[in-house]
Amino acid sequence: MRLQNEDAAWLAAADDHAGRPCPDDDGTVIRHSISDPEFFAVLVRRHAPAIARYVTRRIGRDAAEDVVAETFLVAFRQRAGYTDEGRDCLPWLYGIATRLAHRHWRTETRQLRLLARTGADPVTEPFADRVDAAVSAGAVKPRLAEALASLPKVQRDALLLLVWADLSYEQIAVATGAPLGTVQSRISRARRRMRSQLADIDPQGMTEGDQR
Amino acid sequence: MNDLKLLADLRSEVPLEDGTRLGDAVIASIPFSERDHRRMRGGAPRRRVRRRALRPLLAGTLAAAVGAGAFAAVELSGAPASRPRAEEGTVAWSGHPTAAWPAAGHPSYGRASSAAQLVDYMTRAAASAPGRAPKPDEWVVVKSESADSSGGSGGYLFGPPDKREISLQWFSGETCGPVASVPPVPATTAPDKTVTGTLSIGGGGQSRIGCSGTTLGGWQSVSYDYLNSLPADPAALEEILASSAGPVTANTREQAIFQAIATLLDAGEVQGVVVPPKLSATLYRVLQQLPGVTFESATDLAGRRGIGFSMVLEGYLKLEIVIDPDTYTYMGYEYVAIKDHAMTGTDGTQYVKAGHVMGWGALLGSAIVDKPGQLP
Repeated sequence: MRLQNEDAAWLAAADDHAGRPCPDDDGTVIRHSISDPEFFAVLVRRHAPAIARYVTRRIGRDAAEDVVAETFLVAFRQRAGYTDEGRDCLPWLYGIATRLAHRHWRTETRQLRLLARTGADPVTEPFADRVDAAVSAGAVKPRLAEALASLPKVQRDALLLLVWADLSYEQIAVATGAPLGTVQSRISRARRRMRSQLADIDPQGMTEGDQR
Repeated sequence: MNDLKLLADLRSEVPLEDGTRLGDAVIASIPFSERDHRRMRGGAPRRRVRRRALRPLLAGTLAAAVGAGAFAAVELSGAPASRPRAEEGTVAWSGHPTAAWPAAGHPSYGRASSAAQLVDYMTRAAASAPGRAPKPDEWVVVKSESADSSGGSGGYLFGPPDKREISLQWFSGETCGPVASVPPVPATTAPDKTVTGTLSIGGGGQSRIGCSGTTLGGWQSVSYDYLNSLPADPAALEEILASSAGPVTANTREQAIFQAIATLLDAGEVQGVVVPPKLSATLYRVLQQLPGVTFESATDLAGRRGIGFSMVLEGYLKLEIVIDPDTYTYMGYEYVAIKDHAMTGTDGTQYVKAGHVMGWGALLGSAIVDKPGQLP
């Protein structure tokens, strides 16, 4: 592939794979990786932790291991088709990871239902030494889990990409391939269901959603 | 506190792992080099990357996979010379690639016209002719037809399935042994036309399904011994298939099972995997009772009538596998869009219309022979 001038200049100034400074822009890294595949490793090191955490939160540590590895493998194979020149390719990677995690959809739902029923969460068990954050209030976690478990796939994806992957509505649209309006309505419906699950815990707060 | 904040805290104890350690593990599974790419062909390199792309893509890689490797000339002709083990290389070959093969002598109990009949006849056929694995010095010759499009292809056929080719390949009976092939010919080639070309015998090993850590979607192994050891109880077999990771597009347990079966029959058999008759009988039994599977009389693109089992995937895509009603063996597969669909990916949005054939392939014959280049 023929590099654009600024890329060629940047590459010429670079020393080697190990030591050279990397461009911040994911799109540039991906473009370089087409002619120099090993450059893709930059993206892996940059984004694997975030992808791994998101996938682990959804399907648990054991299942996440394969999904994370495969997410980057798929991204590597599809990188020639990456056209977003934006700095951040995370929405693209989250989209791939989300689709791959669907393979464990039943496991994900089963684990959520277990949490809803027993209060014990198989997903966080391996990290039991860590202090749970604000959701320590006994009643809330199972309710949240029940609400998540009952959501249709597209709604759960949209909601968790918003909250756990910290994507914007526009980025979720990129990640899931759905129009922006669809994303908005999916999240809106998902939140309505969550609020109804949580209504009797904190009815006041539930209705004042954070309209990101 | 609002619902989003509560949800953000849920499972927040899952840590952000160290990028270097995690990155190293992930990077190790990516095929950066050309050598790694070759290793990846025909299947994923290790357990964790066992998924494959849509079947039409896979068909396209077959010729490339068998063509890999260094070649040296050996003496062999259309009536191959007798030698204990074929060496890697290229030799002159001539023959009739599109000519019909003599009947394979499958036991027949009549023409099956329902799924129940197919299961019944296949079960009886398997009992009377249990089948066998090819011996290490034998070869499995596979004749297959695949469709490409004048409109191009990439994961699926962008236009009509109007470029059809017939391929001949020979797979050594030796575990992970060499693979031989002659260049594909247009499906329109007259059966009596003698085609003169080159038989390439390559080091299979790395590129053969089931070797060097490669797997076939949904299957732990495709060795004859493994396949023959699978349970005859359909529920037990379903469990095994469901627990192996299915293709990535499989969203339900049933879809994963259906796709695993389809994959073994088309991608597997077309790449020299020999499916024991007993397993075929069980697979048909699974198909007969699997929720979401439709049974219908089918005509494939080659105009052959068969028994079709189909399932709708992703809401718009029907995958049909067709079984020969007389020999009870696999005939081919077809992917067809059943409604208009927009596929949005990172490379833009592509549209397919209802009725669009997205992939098609047929197994025209499979037999055990003594030498590469030999036809039954």
